[in-house]
Amino acid sequence: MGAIVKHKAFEPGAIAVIVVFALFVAPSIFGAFWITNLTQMAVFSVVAASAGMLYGRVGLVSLGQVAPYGIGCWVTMRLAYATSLPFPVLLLIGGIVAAVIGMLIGLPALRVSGLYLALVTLMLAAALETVLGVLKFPNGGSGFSGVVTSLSDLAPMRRPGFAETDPAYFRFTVIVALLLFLLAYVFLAGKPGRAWASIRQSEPSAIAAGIAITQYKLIAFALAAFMAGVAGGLFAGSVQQSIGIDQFSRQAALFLIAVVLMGGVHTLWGALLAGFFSKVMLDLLTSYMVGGQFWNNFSLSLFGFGLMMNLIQSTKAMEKKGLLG
Amino acid sequence: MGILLYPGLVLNCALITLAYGWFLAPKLDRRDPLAKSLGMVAVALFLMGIMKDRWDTSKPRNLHFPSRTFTVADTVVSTTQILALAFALVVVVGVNLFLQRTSIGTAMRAIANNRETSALLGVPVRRIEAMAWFGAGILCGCVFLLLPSFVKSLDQGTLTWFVIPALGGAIVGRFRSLWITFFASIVIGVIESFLTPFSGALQFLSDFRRVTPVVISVLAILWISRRRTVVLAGREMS
Amino acid sequence: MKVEVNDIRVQFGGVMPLDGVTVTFPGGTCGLIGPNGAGKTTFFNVLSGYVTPVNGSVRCDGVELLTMPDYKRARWGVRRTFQTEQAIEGLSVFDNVLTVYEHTAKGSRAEKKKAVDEALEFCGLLGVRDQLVRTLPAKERRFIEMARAVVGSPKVVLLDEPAAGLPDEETNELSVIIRSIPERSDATVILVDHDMALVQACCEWSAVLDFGRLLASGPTGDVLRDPKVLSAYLGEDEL
Ligand SMILES: Nc1ncnc2c1ncn2[C@@H]1O[C@H](COP(=O)(O)OP(=O)(O)OP(=O)(O)O)[C@@H](O)[C@H]1O
Ligand SMILES: [Mg+2]
Repeated sequence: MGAIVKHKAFEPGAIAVIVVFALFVAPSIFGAFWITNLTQMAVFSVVAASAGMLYGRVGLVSLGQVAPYGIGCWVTMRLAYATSLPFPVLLLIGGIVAAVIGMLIGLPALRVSGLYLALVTLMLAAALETVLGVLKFPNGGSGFSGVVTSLSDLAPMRRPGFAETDPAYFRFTVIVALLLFLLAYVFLAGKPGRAWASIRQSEPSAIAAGIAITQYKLIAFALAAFMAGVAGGLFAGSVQQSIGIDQFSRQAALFLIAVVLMGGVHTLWGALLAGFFSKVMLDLLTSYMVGGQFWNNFSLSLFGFGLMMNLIQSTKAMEKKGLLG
Repeated sequence: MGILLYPGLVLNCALITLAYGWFLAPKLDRRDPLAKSLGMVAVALFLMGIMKDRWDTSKPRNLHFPSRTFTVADTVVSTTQILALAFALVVVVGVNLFLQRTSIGTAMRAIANNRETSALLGVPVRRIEAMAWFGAGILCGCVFLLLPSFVKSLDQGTLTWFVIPALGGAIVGRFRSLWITFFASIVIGVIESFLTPFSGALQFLSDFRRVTPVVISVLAILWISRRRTVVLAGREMS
Repeated sequence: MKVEVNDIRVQFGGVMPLDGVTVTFPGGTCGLIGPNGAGKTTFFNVLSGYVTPVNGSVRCDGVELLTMPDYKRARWGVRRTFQTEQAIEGLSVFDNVLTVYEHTAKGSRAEKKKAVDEALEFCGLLGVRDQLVRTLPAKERRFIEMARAVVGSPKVVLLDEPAAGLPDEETNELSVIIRSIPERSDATVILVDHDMALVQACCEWSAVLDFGRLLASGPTGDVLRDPKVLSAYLGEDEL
């Protein structure tokens, strides 16, 4: 139990400072544009944390974490229009549906590892992209997919009653994200976390310890998908309407793994950094730096470059530790 | 331009892969296949960024290979289609022969099998690998002379999608057998085109046809891994 | 507890690392020796379930081991250490041992802590109880693997060259631990090692493998004097 608690990543003091800043300082000093940006950063850091957890803690590389993210987004939106259930309940349902589908996706993926796992998850994400592309995101219409047939039905997605405004929704998002990180922490610090550490290092030795490998990998997939699914619901509430498939495309999948690796897969900071890279940094560059639109257009190139640098760095680090041949 | 356009395009493609193979790939050469493929993801992102900046999406782009059509038994066939099929066959046979018969091909197989040992035995690993990258670039370049004839417009979305069916074929062939990859790809393509004309109640078959390679490769993986294997100290146990 | 091995045959393509091995380990601490490549590790892998033999059975205590799923064998009581040590680097010493215990036994929090601490004490690891394994030297890691193998109530403990790479002094410490496993938890220990002094010190009974076949078995002293065993170790010419 000790190891993870002692890890710098979970220094309670630093976390408290960030939370206090996010909840009480940020909403009053930033305008609407940056608040929306920060909201999405919080959302995306949850998705990054879920992918990073799979890679860094369980040793499973999933390129398909955008899939549960998209599923959670779709389900939450559909239910928000169709029912009057409270928003937090919608998030929960979105997360659970994503977790169930994530596990179903995980089943074939679990029988392979390494490169094959990465490729299969990427392909499954592409399949989901096709499905969501056909269904389209709900926007207030009726029927299964909830897509309007006449523009007069078009309605924005609702937010929780206590968090209608942007700053309030930002606070709500931070709290939910915090709860999700806490959930992940509880798993990591307990029996599943120890089982994952064993599996990641050596499957034979995990088997020799009596660990049911498939079951624990499924738990990891389910937890990661749940986190991403809830994040999807939060994202829906932040954008509110006309959500495009771009956020959940295979390009987004590659982008996600790039920022997750650049941020770092072992710590909470890594996830926040990934969120920062993908949602805030670009807008900072376009707004305040010379070059303006240039940064936006070349963002993918930038992240490609960053990923390459990261891979080279980690290779050097591994060589230094004597982990490579 | 003009006559030099096609070879120029192919060479351009090959130079990019060669540059990657010569300068960047060696930096990851001791990592696992996954890290290596993430290196390619990095390159893909890099190129996609450039594409996004350079390619104005409002102006559709295309590159049509000169082609003629004729009718065989009520079906319209274009010379490009026949050329594509013939090209695939030539590549499979040619690459197989190259790998089996030539000394460079043998060296490539040796490296694929065990890089360290090959290096110890005096195989010029770096040069051979760069050649493999160059060759792969040439093949890709040729493919992308033919492929645009079959799509409406060239843009990022369309182009990056081709990774998916291509991976589908490669996964079924387990990155080992070119023949299986060839037949799997043909099967994927044929199923997709059979699904295209559905409409009405079965419209969804047409809508979801692009999922075909995913379904096929997942089925293939389930079949391939029906017996679980444990890897112990780098050795697969069965 | 007896471990009855009957006609185990393993095939990897054209290689037959185990070619019809039949032997009964009588209980206590038993040695399993043989030259490099004799099939000792493969035999352990069969017992752990990583390798499926084409033929044969292993019965302990009236239970057929080979039909059990691999991870359930650990729950039933098969434990092992690995030729290349496999302590989990990212966990503390305590958590390493706890991981095995919590998957192989049930119990309250206090019971878990007690059982793990007992195993740590048994292997002399209480001093590094809360340290990360990553920070520890090879010696400790070998002992952690030992603690993982004995925590709770194992029935069969397989030790694959536990002393490889350890200096004499630490090998002696290890041999004391190995010898006291059977009385501690009533388990049958099978010890593979190339260090004959260690095998002689720990095991009253030994079996010898060579090229995947059983060469001899019986009291360790007799087995080591057996001319067939000598020639297997020294090469044909010496006979
Ligand atoms: N997965 C495998 N595939 C092919 N051959 C194998 C495999 N595992 C083991 N072998 C072969 O089986 C034989 C027995 O190997 P094993 O590791 O069991 O020997 P060992 O007695 O443990 O030797 P050592 O004392 O060196 O550890 C060897 O010839 C080895 O090369
Ligand atoms: Mg061995």
